[in-house]
Amino acid sequence: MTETEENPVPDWEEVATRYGRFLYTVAYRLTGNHDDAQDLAQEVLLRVRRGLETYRPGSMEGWLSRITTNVFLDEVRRRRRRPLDTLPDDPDRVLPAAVSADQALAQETLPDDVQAAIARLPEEFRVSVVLCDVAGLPYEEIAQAVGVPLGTVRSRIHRGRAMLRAILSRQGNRP
Amino acid sequence: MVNGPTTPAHLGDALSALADGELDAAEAAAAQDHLSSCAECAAELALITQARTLVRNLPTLDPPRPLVLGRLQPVPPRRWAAPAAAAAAAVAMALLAAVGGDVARDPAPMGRLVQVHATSAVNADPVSQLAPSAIPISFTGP
Repeated sequence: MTETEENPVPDWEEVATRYGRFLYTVAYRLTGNHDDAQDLAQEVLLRVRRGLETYRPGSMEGWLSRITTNVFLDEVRRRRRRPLDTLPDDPDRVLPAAVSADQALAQETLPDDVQAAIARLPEEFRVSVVLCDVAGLPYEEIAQAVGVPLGTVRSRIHRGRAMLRAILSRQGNRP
Repeated sequence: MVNGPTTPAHLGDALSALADGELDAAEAAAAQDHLSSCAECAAELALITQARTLVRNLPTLDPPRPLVLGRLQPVPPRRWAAPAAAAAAAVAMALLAAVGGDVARDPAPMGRLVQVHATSAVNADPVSQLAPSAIPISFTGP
């Protein structure tokens, strides 16, 4: 949704009303729990309300996603006090499963399983996957939101999905 | 497919870009061409498409609590919070006075309270407006 030129800076209450579910859903998929999602979504609205974030006319979802990403990654770094440089899996080594197993996975995977798998992705991959497949942003807007080149976004989305698939596959095989 | 300087390598992250419609027409055509003869890339495309679909099919969520409450409330100097709290207290007092002496022997005092509230605030609804200041959420502290 683009804002009109007469009202370039969105009103935070309107943002909360019109984009509350979007914002909360993105926040929940990033944080993986309701308390942190509530904190994150409210912090985003707080920044909108305070005028702390420069609004660029364009996609409201993209703008909110950029703020959400910044707040989320700041909080992750604050909690960890160490850089984001560890990767639990090497998706390049993930072998394709049989098609029948794929179909079974698709049919049996519950939303909670998918959410749990998202939560296991390293944050930079999780952000890219969530902004693409939950927020529904095009790559260009994700690149702007995260502050990385387009090629990096593309790579992170693809590797994130590969990791996700591998995690879900292992979960499905668990006795 | 024969490996050579002009032969495209495996598609890698172009597969996700293809699934997302992020390739231009020429790139997409080249990718489809490669897919038609590369079982490995076709299998990888199936996997990432599956992950993509699973995430995209996740439900949209409603916030358990209204987003404008809690953390937002203490931010500005309490220009509106103080009179709001006073007004809330006044409303509460009025409601208690209205229910008052019945509470002790009323088998369902809360139901009565709700009913009194519902019938006494037809024209003005200060209570729902004032809900923020009555909810003790304190992520940031005062």
